[in-house]
Amino acid sequence: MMRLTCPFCGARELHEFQFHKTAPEPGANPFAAVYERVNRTDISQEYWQHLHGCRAWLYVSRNPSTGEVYQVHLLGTQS
Amino acid sequence: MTLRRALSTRRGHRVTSQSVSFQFDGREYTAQAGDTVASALLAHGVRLFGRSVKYRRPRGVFAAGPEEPNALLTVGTQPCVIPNVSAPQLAITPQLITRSQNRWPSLRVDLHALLQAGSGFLGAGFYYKTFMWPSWRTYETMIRHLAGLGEAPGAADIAPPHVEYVSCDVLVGGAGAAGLAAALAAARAGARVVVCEREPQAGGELEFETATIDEQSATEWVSSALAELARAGARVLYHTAIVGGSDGLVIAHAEPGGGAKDNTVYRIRPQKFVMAMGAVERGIAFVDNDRPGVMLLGAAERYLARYGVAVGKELVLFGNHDRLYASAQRLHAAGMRIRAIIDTRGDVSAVTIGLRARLTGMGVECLGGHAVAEVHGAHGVRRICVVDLQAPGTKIFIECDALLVSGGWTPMLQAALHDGGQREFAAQAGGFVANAQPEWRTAVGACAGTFELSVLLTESFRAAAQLSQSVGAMGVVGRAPVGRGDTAPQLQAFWRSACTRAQEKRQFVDLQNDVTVADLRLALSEGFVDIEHIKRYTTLGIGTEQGRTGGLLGAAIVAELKGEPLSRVGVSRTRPPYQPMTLSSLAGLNQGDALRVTRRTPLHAWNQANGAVFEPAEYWLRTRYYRANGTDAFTAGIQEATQVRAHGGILDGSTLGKIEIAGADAAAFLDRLYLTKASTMKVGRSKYMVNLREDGMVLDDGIVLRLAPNRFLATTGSGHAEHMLSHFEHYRALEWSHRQVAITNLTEAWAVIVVAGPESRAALIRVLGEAWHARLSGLTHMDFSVSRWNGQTLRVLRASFSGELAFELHCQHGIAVPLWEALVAAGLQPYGLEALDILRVEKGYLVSSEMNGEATPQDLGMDGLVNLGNECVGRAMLGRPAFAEPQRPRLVGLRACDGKSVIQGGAQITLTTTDTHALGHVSSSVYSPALGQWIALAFVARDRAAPGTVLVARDPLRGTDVDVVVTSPVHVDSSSERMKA
Amino acid sequence: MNTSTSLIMEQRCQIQSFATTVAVEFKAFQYPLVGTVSAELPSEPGAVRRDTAGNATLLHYGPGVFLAPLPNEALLHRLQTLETAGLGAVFDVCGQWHQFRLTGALSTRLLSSGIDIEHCVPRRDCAAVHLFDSPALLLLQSTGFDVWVPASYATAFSATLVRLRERLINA
Repeated sequence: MMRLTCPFCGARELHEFQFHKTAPEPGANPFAAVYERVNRTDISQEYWQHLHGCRAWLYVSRNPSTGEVYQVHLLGTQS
Repeated sequence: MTLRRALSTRRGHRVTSQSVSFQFDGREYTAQAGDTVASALLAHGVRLFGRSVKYRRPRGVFAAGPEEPNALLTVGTQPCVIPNVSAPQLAITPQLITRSQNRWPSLRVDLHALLQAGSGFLGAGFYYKTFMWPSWRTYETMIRHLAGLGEAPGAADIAPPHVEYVSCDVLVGGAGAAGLAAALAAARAGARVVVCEREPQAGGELEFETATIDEQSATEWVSSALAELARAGARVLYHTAIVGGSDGLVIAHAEPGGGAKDNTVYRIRPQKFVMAMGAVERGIAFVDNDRPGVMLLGAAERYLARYGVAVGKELVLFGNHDRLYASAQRLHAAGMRIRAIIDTRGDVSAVTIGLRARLTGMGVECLGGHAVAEVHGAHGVRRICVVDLQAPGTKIFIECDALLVSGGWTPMLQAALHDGGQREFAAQAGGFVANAQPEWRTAVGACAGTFELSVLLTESFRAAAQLSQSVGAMGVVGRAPVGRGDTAPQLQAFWRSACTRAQEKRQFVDLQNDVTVADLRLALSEGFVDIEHIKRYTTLGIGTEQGRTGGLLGAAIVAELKGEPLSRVGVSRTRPPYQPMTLSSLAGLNQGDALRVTRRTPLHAWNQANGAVFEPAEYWLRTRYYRANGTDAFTAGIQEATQVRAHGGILDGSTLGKIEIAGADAAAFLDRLYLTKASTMKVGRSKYMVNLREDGMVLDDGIVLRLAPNRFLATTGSGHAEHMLSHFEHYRALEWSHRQVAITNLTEAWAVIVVAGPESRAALIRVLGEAWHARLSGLTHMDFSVSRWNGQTLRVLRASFSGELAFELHCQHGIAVPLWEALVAAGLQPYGLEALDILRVEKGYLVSSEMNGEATPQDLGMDGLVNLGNECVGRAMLGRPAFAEPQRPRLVGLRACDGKSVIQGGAQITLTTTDTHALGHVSSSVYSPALGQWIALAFVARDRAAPGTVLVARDPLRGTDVDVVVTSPVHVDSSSERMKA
Repeated sequence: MNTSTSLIMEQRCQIQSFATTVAVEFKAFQYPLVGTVSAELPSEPGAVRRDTAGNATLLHYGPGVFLAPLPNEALLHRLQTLETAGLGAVFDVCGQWHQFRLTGALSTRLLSSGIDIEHCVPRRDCAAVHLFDSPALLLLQSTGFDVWVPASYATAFSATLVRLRERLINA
């Protein structure tokens, strides 16, 4: 997974992006939202920032075993 | 020094008649322009090029490319040398100085070789078993002196490489027959094509192979192919080898002429990658097969065709395939004398019989079903001992001065084994070929185990056409080139001649690392059965040639010794870079002045011109102190801090992070991100505010200004600005993307000058003038005022990080320096970070040492702010039981009990001088001129943190213990009278 | 006001540096862009609006993020109107960015030393990138490129440009 496709900038090298954390389960209590995650090998839902590009925050879902990226969209929107 | 002159002018593809000269081992030699050091020395009849790494055996040139294991030279003179440069790849440049390696006192007479009476001493893994008593250290110096190949440079004299990022549709690795065919298909289809060729010319084996392609000679076809590629806009990079890459990125390294000069690192992102890097010829193991004069057959052909060099006067060819005969014919036609051809194959086809007959007719003795068992001649082949494989007792001796060996070709799989690429054993190729590859890569030609010209031209053309289509290049490609070269090799595997157990110590498998058959046997007997373990234990396949000539040979012999099929043994994986690169090349542009980027404030030039000593802080260059104020940071810091409290001073605070937040929902947004509310602030006022992390820990603090009802300026810690910006942006996107709030970074836009001290207001009024007098006089603590000075906007905020009466001036670049200079002229002395640290520790103000990610707001004494009850990020996590435990450390001040000892930053706080249980640690410590002693801020367990408690600050690293007493963190002016003046 | 210092004048690659850059940023509250914002501003990612002389007046370099270098009265007024309508916020970013202009045949090769220029820019007219260890905004021009970097990086960035240009010209 050496490239991510920023919805605004297009495909860019991975080092332009910074991983923040995996997304908490919807409706999780504050403690779980900070500390608890279900560790799946087939899908990981994550927050990234295109830090060295347009600085947009991104929602990324990908397969942590194969590196395949399923979805990238701007955090807070669907696009 | 006498110049060694060549006897006559040679003719070859790459040499002209123009004369050049160079030095080797202190002697000067002539050569022809276009020669490499290897070809030139071979032309002079030089046979010794170095000594082997372990046994110091004399060695000569073995190959004609990066697979050269022996002839590695040191280029240049100390302190600027480059070691281990492959002589066949080293072009001759003016004043070139080269030396052989690993010998003393000379190449001919090496003392260490003489001392090695029994080379069994240094078998595989010897260093794990010997030189142990009394300890390794006893032998270490001697071993280190003997070990390794070449010498490291004492200084760096290598310019940074050029770097180029390249995008293309189809990347073709290799411009041999298969590579050119693939490139043609892709270019005709309309794809953007880049071809990387590690040699200075295209063609690969077509350089000497007798072939016709599309009814042209091989050379003509190569020229017209290159011309067509040029017309189509394809890029062909010469001297450029693919050296590695990952995840879709391919790295190629161009090193024109060897020796790390003018090199370029290409970072290529192709949509599709056609690997056509060919196959490397390999040798066969027999006794003393490492003698100078034993060479790869293809290398000899190359030296002849390219440089016109005859590698010997009486040649013998030895191998296991039909190309021996084609090569023999070419060598014979060029006037070389071939004494015999030793072919291990007994049972051969009619074609082979016919080939043999033709050569016998030319006076060459053809011995089928025979093998070379041994070589005689320590400093160069004199004669060989040949045995009949059917009747092993019979020995034939043949006198010769060059033995050209070919045991087959090993496909170059380095790039194909990366990124999940697989290999498989292909019996017809006699080795491993690329198997499943990621969809963007494919192997063609000899690289894929196809050695016949007619077949590989079609296969690679079609493969490239298909790949081009898949990326949308749909142009008409026409038909593939039709060609005919040497007949199919009909190779029968033969890895080593029979010998006694003792002789296995002299059957070399990996020449570069002196790995012999005996070493492989030893590794197996000691339990290293996996080929990767054998590699590491015996060093088979490491070094500059990465097992090109010896890797598969070694695996096959391991298979023989284990009694397992070669397909099960496998080969070890090669590591990038596939050809050696200097560290300078790997570093790319980031070296020297460009090692890391530096950021400068608008006042940088003034500071530099006025004796500022800078300190890097998060890429910024910040003034630590000014030279005029002291000989070192400690003295200058004290002088500057004293001056600020006594009179006043100015500080360049431009690195302060500044984030502007605007919109109808800006206030509510900030309420969410700060411990206390921003929405209650009036316009024109500012407030000290704290950010929490989502787990409740304090993240940062700063002053927030309300510029307008819907506009705020938030300041952050200097080192933290980008991080806080990301923090704000994260929550804006996560929770506020449908609200009216926008954020922008203005850190660079505003210069910040801090004016502090009892005389600050008066000086400021003098400088800013009458227009500002009333404003400044009436400015209360945490108020700010915006107006103009010298035609530009100026914002003056009354706030203090020093505990003195102080003002923060925010101004635009154009007036920053004039304003600063005016303040200096008004009698205010500039101070730096060192003094700032003293002033803020005296007042108990916090920086990242205190807000270290492990402290809650209550730990930092912010209970009052917490109790205001604002629902912000992180608040929900503040109520956790652990935060209320009595042993949880909280912020206190410390002073030395004796009033003079140094308190060390990082010291561990304990109850007694022998206690090892830490109650906390010292986070910041300074010498306080105001109090005349060392003071500190520290974290101490709540149940031991009452003021007056005596504890110990223990520094186990320096071995000091200091008795300290707990105080308030505010050491100076606890009622803040000075600040509120 | 913009004052230009020509660092190097040479046919194959000229580098100009502009000291203080007057500029304004507009950040839309909603993205994708809606309503008037979408109609009035260049809404495609990386789109650039130019005036009749070919100068870039608006760069859409981030989602809903626009840089207006040297905005005229009319543009400022339009952006203020959008702000008043509650559609976004205008920020005065004078001094935040430092502008470089590269012209000449070697300018592409120079930038290719740090970034895959063919990939980033020709598919769009402007792009937010990271170049020679500095944040940078790239703008495609007919004769080369404009590059904006945050002012604190300008000295280091200019030194890198000059050094690379020297090596390429002498290569």
